Formats: sequence, C-alpha cells, structure tokens
Amino acid sequence: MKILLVEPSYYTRFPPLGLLKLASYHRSRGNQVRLVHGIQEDLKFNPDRIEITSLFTYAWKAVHEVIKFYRGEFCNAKMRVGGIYASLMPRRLKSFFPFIDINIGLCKEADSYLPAYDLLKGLKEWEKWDSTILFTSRGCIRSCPYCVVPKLEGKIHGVVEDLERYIYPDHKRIILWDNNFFATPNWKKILNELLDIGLPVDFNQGIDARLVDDEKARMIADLRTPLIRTAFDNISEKKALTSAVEILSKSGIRRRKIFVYTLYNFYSEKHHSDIPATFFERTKHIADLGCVSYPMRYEPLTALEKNCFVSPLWTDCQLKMIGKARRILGYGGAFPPYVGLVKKFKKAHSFEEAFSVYPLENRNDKAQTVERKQNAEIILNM
Amino acid sequence: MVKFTDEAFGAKLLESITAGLYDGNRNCLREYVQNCIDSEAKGIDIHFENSQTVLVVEDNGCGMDKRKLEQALHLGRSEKPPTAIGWRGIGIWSGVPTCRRIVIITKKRNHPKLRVQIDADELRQQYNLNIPAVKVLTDVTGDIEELELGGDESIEDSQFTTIRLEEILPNQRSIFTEDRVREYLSSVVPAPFNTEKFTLGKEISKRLSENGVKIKETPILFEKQKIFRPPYNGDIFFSKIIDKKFIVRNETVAYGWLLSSKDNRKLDPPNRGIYFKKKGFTIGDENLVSNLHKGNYNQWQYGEIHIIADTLKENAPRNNFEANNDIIEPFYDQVGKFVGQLQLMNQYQSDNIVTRSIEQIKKQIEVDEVKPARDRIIHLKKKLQRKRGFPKEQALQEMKEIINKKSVANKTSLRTLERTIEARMKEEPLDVIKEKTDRFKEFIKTSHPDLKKHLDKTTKKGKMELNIDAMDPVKILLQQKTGLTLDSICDLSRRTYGWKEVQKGDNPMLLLSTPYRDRLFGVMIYALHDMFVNTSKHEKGQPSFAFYESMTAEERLDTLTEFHMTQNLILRLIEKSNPIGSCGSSKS
Repeated sequence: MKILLVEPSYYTRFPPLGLLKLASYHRSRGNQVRLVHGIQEDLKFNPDRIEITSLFTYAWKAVHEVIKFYRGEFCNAKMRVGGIYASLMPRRLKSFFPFIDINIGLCKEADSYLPAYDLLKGLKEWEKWDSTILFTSRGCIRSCPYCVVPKLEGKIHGVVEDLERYIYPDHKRIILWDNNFFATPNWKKILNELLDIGLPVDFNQGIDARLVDDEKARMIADLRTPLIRTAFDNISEKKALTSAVEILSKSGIRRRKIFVYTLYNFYSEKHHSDIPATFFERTKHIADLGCVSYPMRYEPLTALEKNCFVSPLWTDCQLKMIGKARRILGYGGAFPPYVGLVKKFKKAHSFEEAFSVYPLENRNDKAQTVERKQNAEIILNM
Repeated sequence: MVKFTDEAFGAKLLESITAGLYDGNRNCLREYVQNCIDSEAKGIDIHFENSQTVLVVEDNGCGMDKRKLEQALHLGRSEKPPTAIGWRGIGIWSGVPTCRRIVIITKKRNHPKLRVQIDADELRQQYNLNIPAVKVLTDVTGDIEELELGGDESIEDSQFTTIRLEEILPNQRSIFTEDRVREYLSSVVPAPFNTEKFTLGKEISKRLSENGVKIKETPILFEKQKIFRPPYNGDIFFSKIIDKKFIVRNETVAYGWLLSSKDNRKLDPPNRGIYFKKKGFTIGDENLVSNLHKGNYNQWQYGEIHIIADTLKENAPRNNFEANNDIIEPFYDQVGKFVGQLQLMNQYQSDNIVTRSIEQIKKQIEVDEVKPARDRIIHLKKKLQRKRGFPKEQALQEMKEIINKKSVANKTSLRTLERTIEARMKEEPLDVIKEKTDRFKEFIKTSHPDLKKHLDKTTKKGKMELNIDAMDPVKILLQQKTGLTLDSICDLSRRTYGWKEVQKGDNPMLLLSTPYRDRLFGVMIYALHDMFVNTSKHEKGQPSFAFYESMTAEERLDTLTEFHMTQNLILRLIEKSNPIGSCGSSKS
C-alpha cells in the first residue's frame, strides 16, 4: 500500500513527530510512505491512504486546505486526520469533511516506533533537522486549567526507558518533550542515561520550578543544556521559583541561561485568573532574579483565531503594550535582564509604566485601564 | 520411557539457538539470503531504512501462505528438502540478537498478504527466565495478520517475502553499517563476478558449471548497487586459472579454482584467500582453509573450493563442516597438502621472479641513484641463483612454465638494466667540485688586480679557502680614498652609516651618488670590513663562522666564490666613488 503523510503548512518550529512515527509504523507493515509539506501538486505517487496531522486549533485553516486539496487529487484514498486540532475539535472537523476518519489523542499503534526522520531530508522545510525529539513520559502531575496536556494525555506515566535506542544516528542533540520531566518517577535513571549519551539536551517543555532540588540541579548542570526553561504562571509560585533559581545558580547554571515563561491574559471563572498587575510583578521578579522572562499569551484551548481572545481582566491595549514592549525593549520576544530593563521595572509603579515604550497616548485610555484594574481587583477579592 | 513435554525445554535454550550459534550477528544476512534463494527469487533487494536503523531484505520469490509462514517460524524443524540451502529451520530467528523486532511480510500468489512480528527485545529479556521455551516463543510472536492490498498489488499475481530487522540495537549499529554489510554480503552470498573488472570471471563460471558446481547466482542489490563476489581486480593475478579436483574414494567431493599473484607479496583482502563454498555460500573464512596446512603460508592466491558432495554438510554456524562422516578427514588432508604445495610454488616464484625489484631499480635509475641500483642488481643476481624445487602437484605444473617464462624475462630485463647502469657510470663523472673550482679560477682571472694578487697566492698553492688577506686591498683603498686610519674608518663608518647612533654632522667616508645609496653602500662596506677587521671571528668554531665551517665542499666553493665576488664588487665601487669634498651633493 502507498501512504501519503501530510503536514499542513502552518508555522511550527518542530517537524511532525507523530507523522514520522506513523511513517515507521506503515513501513513496518510493508507500506510505501511519502511525506509532504502542505499542498504538493503533481506528486507522482498514488496513495491508498492519506494521513494528515494538525497542530493548534487556531492553525485549522492550513489543515482544511490540505484535506480539500488531497481529497480532490485522490478521491478514492482513505483519509485520516490526527493531531491536536483534530483531537480537540473532532466534531467541527467532521462537520466540514464527513468523509474523514479522525484519530483522537495519541496514535497508540505507532507511538513506540522510532520516527522516520529520514523522510525529513526530502523536505526543504526540514532537511537540516538534526535533533531527536523524545518523550520519556506523557501526561502531567498538575492539572493547570490553561493547559491541554491533562485533557489529552492524562496523569503522568513513563513511556520510554533505555533511551539510547531512541536516539537517531547522526543527530546532534536531544529535545525532551516531557511535559513535566521531574515528575516522572524514573527521572534520575533517565538523567543518568542522558549524561552517558553525552549529547546536549533541551528540556523543551520546561522544568517544574517547584520540583527543583540540589541533586536535580547538579545533574542538569552536568548536561550540556543550552538553556533551562521554567515557568512562572501564577504569582503564588514566587517562592518556588526564587528557590529554584537560587539552587540552579548555585549548581553553576548562569542565571541568564534560565528562561522563565510567564503566562498572561489567562481567564477562568473557576480558577485564579491573571491580571496585568501580577503579570508585571512576575516579570519584575524574574528580572530581579537575573533571569530571562518570556511572556506567553494565553489562548483558549479551542481558539480558532490567534491573539483574539482578550481576558475580561485585561484590555486589548494592555495586551498590545506587552507585544510592543517585547519587540522594542526586549530581545527575540523575551525580556532579558538588561540593566536598563531591570531598572525600568524596578522604578515602575504600575503595569503601564513598566511596559510603556512611549508616554501613554491619552489619558482617557489610562483612566479606563485604571478603572478596569480596579474592577479586576474587586473580582479577584470576591 | 521418559516422556518429554513442552515444560522440558526452557527459555535458555533459545539463547543458544538464536544468539549463541551465530558468532558475528551479520550471519543473519546469510540466513535471510538463503531463504530468498530457496524461494526461487529472481532478485533480492537489501537496503537500510531510516538512517540504518532498519534493515530490509526483500525477494520476489514464491512467498508463503499461512501454513508455510507458521512452519517458517518453527524452530529447528524445516520442511525444506535437504537440497535447499537453508534446511535447519533457524533462519528467521537469526536476527534476534540484532534488533528490537523482526517483521515478516509475505504473499503467495492467490493468497492474502500476511504479516507477523517477533518481539526480539522481549525474547532476549526472557532468555534468563526459568520458563518453558514454548511459552516464550508464543509470547513474543504476534498473530499472523492479513494485510490490506494496495492499489498496485493483486491477489492473483503479487508474490514476495520481506524480512525487516527493525530498530537495530545501538550496540549493533557499528556492525550493521553500509560498508560492513556490503563487505559481508560480497564475501558470503552467491553473488556473480563483476566480469567487467574481472574478465576471467566468465571462464571460471563456465568451468564451475562444467565441473558440477551448481550455484544459484541470484542478482542481489544492496543499497541500489549490485553485489559482486571477489576478486575485483584480475590484473594482479597470472591469467592462468588453476583447477583442482578433490577426489575421495573415487568421488569428486569438491572442485576448486585458484589464481596466483604476479607479485611476490601478500595480497590484500578482499582479493585474497581460499574459501570453501557450498551452494555458492562461503563456509568459514580464509583461515579455515589455510589452517589445514601445518606451517607458514603466504597469501599469494585467491580461490574457491566448491563442495559438490552432499555428504559434506556445513555445521549450523556455517563456520566449518560437520565432522560426523568419513569423507571430511581425507578431504581436509588433501586440501592441507594442496595448500602446502601452493606454498612451495610461492617459494619457487620468490626464487625466480623479481619483477617488483626490477621496477624499483628502474625508478632508481630514473632519479640517478645509479650506485644503489647497481648494488641491488648484484644482490638480485645472487638471489636468482638460489634454486628451490617446484612442487610435484599436478594441478600446478602449468604454473611452473609460466613462472619460468617470467623468470627468463626478468633476467633479460636485469641484464638490460645492468648495461644501462654500466653505460651511465662510464660517462664522465659529474665532478661538481672540479666544475666549481674552475669557475672560481675563471673569476679570479677577471677580478680587480689588487684582489687578484692576493687570491692567486692561495690558489696557486691549490687551496680553495677564504683568503683573509684579500681584504687588505679594500682597507688600503679605503685609507687612500678617505685619508683616515683604519680605526677611525671603523668608528666613522659605524656612526655615519647608522648601525649605531649616527652622530649629527658626521659625513660619510665616501660618496657614491645619492645620500640614500651612499648610506646603503656604507653599510655594505662596514659589514664586509667588520668581518675582516675582527679577525678573531674567523677562527674555526666561532659561532659567527660556524655556518661556513659546516658546509659541504661544494657549498663552500659557492660561498667562497660569491664572497670574493662581492669583495671584488665593493673594491670596484670604492674605486669608482668620490672622496668626500669632491662632490657636494651628499653634504646635506
């Protein structure tokens, strides 16, 4: 059989791991596979089946595009769509395209296969890819309301041991996609294996600051980690973050190599929502610690448009302010602990003062913001 | 009677069957290729997938239906007739030590496409558990499933078998590299000769079939390239194919062919060694044959000994033959003796053929190393007088003629070379010293008369050495021109021409033309003057003069000539220059 694997042409920094595993699965069944990126005319490959992946819900258009196109090209081929969008909004997808099959969540039969990274060499988008992406565990011990992981993968469970066999020959680094690496029961065994393998490791999804202790910090420091990612999504984690940074720093990791993601614009009726003031406080605190902060704008799990959701506790203007500040005051979307920036945050009395690039444009807007802020505080105190 | 049940066979047995017997895990390739050939495949395609993490062996043979596939999974039982190549029923399992899982996908005409998977990982883990082998085998072998046919396959026509060794273990990756797999395949499987590069291959194949050797030479592609069996270069051998039949009790049990190196030196693999072959597959390695001869053996031959007799059976690891018959011993004895005869032939060749030395001598003569070339010829002639006898082995007799012929040709070449060398040596010897002495003497004739006087003095005595006194005319001329004493000349020139601090107001001693040239001129005079005034420097062993002392006679003559020539030039320049005051231009 001939299987066409389609990665829609949305923006992403990572190759379609799921499709690559599916490719190996199909090859193991004697099938011929072909991987394409987006719409590819004149394929000279007549597939019996088409497997399409998807990413964030707001990147749905590219998915619909390829479904339409390849259905038109190969109307007899069976078509199956998987990935995040397909898993979160299967009914929406099905209502557009009743003829497709949908794979919700992980594709269990393919998950344990070594991804067919060789297919990437044939795509100009990925030909230089040189990293092995690994999950040593799935799921998470936390259940943060803004995160999709607990919904898709559930509670934490280990999936891989004996890492070496999953490292693709010739790859130059390892990217771990564990959602919460240190929450995995056998983290120590895995870290030791990683140390033995000796390739640089990127804990891409970040490490949980609340779980960092001396032993873990020492082991991370021994790995050739390009940078340490962690998060400060809620002001209540301040103490944990401070202690994690101190411990990491003591183990010899430069503070500037610690990259702290800061969620903003999150709103939930049931959970602790986020307001500009606490976002400012978090950002300032990270700067004080000498680390880099990276604002992450909250998107509802099923957002169909990116950057459209505005929390009732935020104004559009405030959200735009952050965007502008990241571009002008920051670097690469992040706020590194530049002396000027640290000072600016320290001196600022409010969110607006901290993130304004120019003097505020009109007082009305400012007044409005102040008013909203007060409202927000009232709501939070209720 | 003791009754055995499944419980009687433990999992440990499986380890010895799968891992234990197959020293060197590439052996599984032989098993899979054997199976392909047994299934009457017209072509075998072996390739890696996913950067050498998966090895795929595909054939277009008859494929298997469900019953056959089940049988193929049986251990130690085979439905294959004994004429088939693989008949021990281990084949499929031989990949267990190599990979994470073995997958078999097969289709027989008019039968569904089937797939079965062996969890090799799991099997290896269960080796050491104390449980019945039958249970382990059942646990690790998946169900046989029917696979959907693709648009380009048909139930009636499609037939094939594919073996996939998936996710080759990290510790096996260095064994299963492209180079090593190709090397293994070409040395073990019944691949054809590359008759373009090895033209004798055609004739050899013909002789093999004439002598009852049946090889199913199946085209094998590895990574899209055809696999050929060695040798790959026919030019390094004498073109005579040596035939040898091994007959035990009036039955030809094996037929061998050999080629012998033209050069008196050990051949390099893969074009080296004598190999046992059965149905085209190599049994053991080159040591298996050479070890049958007690004593040294120089690897100057390439050859194959094909087993014809059915009674000579290879053992399970295919590294030797089974010893449980009465043919093997006399056969091995014959092979050992034959190798011994080959060694005698090698000795004979070594005594009579010196082609390589001749080539080297030619090169020496080209670069004018005539004397060492002559010494070498003398040595070779002595060597060629040594006469050890040629072996009596019938199969080798024709080689004697070939070697003798070559020997005669060698001797002729040697004589020619000798004559060339003699002629060269008779030619006027290239006496460089004499040539250079003549040149120096020629120079003296044309040198400044004052210098000539001094130089003539020494050369007339036959000494070709630096003449310190030859500096006197320079000193005298300087004193005349400037009206100064030697000491003040030194002092003045040092100051004036700037090798120490130049005193303001000091004028140069002599003027040549522009101030800049005057200055350079002065430095030159001083350098020369200083050298000769300070005579202690000229004593032997002084570091400043050591360069001169350590020269060869030839170099010394060059330096001597150049030195006095420079002196001569300076003398003439001083003569041409103006005493100070006679030309006002440089006073500034």
